[in-house]
Amino acid sequence: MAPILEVSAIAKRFGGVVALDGAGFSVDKPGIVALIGPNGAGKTTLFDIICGRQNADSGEVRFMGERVDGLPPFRLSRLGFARSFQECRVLPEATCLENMLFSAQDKTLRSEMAGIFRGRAHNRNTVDKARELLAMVGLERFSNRPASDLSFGQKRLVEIASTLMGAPKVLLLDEPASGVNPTLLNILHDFLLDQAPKMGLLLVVIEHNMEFIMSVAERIVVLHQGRVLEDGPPAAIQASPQVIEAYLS
Amino acid sequence: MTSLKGLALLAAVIGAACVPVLLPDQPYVVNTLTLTLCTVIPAIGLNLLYGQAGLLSLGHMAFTGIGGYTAALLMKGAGWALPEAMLAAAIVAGFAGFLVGIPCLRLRSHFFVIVTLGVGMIVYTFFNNLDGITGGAQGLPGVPRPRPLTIGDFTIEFRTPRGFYWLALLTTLGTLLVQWLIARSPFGFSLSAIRQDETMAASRGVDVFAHKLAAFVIASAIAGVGGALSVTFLRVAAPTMFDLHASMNIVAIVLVGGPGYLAGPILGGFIFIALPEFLRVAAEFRLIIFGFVLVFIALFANRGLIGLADSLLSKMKRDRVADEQPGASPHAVKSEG
Repeated sequence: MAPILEVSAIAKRFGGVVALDGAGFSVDKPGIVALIGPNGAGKTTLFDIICGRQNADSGEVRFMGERVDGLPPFRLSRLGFARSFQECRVLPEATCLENMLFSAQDKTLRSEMAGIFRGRAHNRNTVDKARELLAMVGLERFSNRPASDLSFGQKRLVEIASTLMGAPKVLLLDEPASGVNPTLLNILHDFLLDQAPKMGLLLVVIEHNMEFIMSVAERIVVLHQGRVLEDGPPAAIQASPQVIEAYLS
Repeated sequence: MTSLKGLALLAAVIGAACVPVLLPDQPYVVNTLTLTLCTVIPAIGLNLLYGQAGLLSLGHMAFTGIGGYTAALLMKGAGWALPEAMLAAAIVAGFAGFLVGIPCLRLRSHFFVIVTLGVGMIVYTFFNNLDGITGGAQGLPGVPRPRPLTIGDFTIEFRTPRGFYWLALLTTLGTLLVQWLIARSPFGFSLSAIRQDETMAASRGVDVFAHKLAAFVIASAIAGVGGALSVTFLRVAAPTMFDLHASMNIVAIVLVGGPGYLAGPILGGFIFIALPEFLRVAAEFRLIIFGFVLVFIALFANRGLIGLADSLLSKMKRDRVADEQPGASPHAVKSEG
């Protein structure tokens, strides 16, 4: 069977700056994979290319064997990709519950037009699922409050919990731990470890918080100067002299 | 919708319908109200566009004009009845919106706003100069009145101020119904998501361009309906009815009334069309006052007057909850069933 996500030989330059120089990795089974590297290693660029926010100069991204590079974000989403943003994006005016339900909604124009007279009637199971996920991140009492009332860390929890409502196959998290206080980070940690296997999800996480990432990820891909420097389980990465040197240099 | 809101709405509709009966010897008042509704309809289209999808069009009256001229030509030249002409106006204006939307909606935020300003000016120039079709600066006078409607023994004459007022009211309610349907639908939710965070909406599977285009087409079609009503009421289609000033007027109506709120354009229409007529404020002063009102709204009520009332009401409600449950925070949330 084709790998779930296969990123091969991605190159990208911005004028004279080489951001990515043949970076690639492949994931065969669901789990949590981290993408780390020192500043300027090309993490964000690689992440943006996988998410469809930027186009690679060369190389391929395949999802279940199908090429998906160059597809706009909404198409990737419909294929089963979901993502969170470093700056954390939720619908500020919508309530937390509505934020959850929005992810579950079928957002093709055709089905929306067909259901124009029905209103936003949600199926009982969807609402239950939304409340359950909110409860898991400890925010059920905020269900009917607009997301703008939440703190940054709480918004992040809503953002990540809501991505799961669309039942994605690949979830890409861009620095989920940044700006989140330790208590909420623990909730996030447990939530990811609990949900990822349950949903058969492939999580790809960019992160700077080493403590967090080492305790969450099963596999770590280290980028350095636009290439993959090391790829393996956390213990091996922490012991790798190359990685230590890359971070110290 | 709660039943209380439904009752209030019913009362408002019945009250509005009774105005000409209650004021039988005041055709001026009734005609002013009709004129207000003629402007409120394109404002409802703009409210859908801006209040729901966050797209501010500064040239929206261009589509009202396209609908208006379409209806005028069909009724005057081809002898069409008003309902068919109105439908045609909606279709032609909607199609024009489709053609304009394809290039313009590729632009984001203020770039889009500037381009709509240009669209308004270009379309106005066409109205003013295509003498063979639009009659140039003179416009198309002599648009016929709608034919009387007979239901059983009862005949409504649209020649009378009262009859036309009811027609305008019915048309306004029809467009409000469209806006209400959209606002409560999943489509409306996607549009609202685009307004709140376009990047986020796209990452969750919203085809932002297609959704914006659909909203633009619907808003243009609604504007076209308003144009058809206006030219039938004033019995003329003239370029100045659809110029930049008119476009700015409906922008002000939407912003002051309360973007995104169903009743916003109606309140705004009263403030900007009916009230100045009744108060007989000199035209020059009116513009100065408008300026002050807009600055006030921008500073203190960016969700319009209805938005201001809405937030005051919910603040009062929260304070009351806090008073009833001493010790509970005003932000405490009702428990869920």
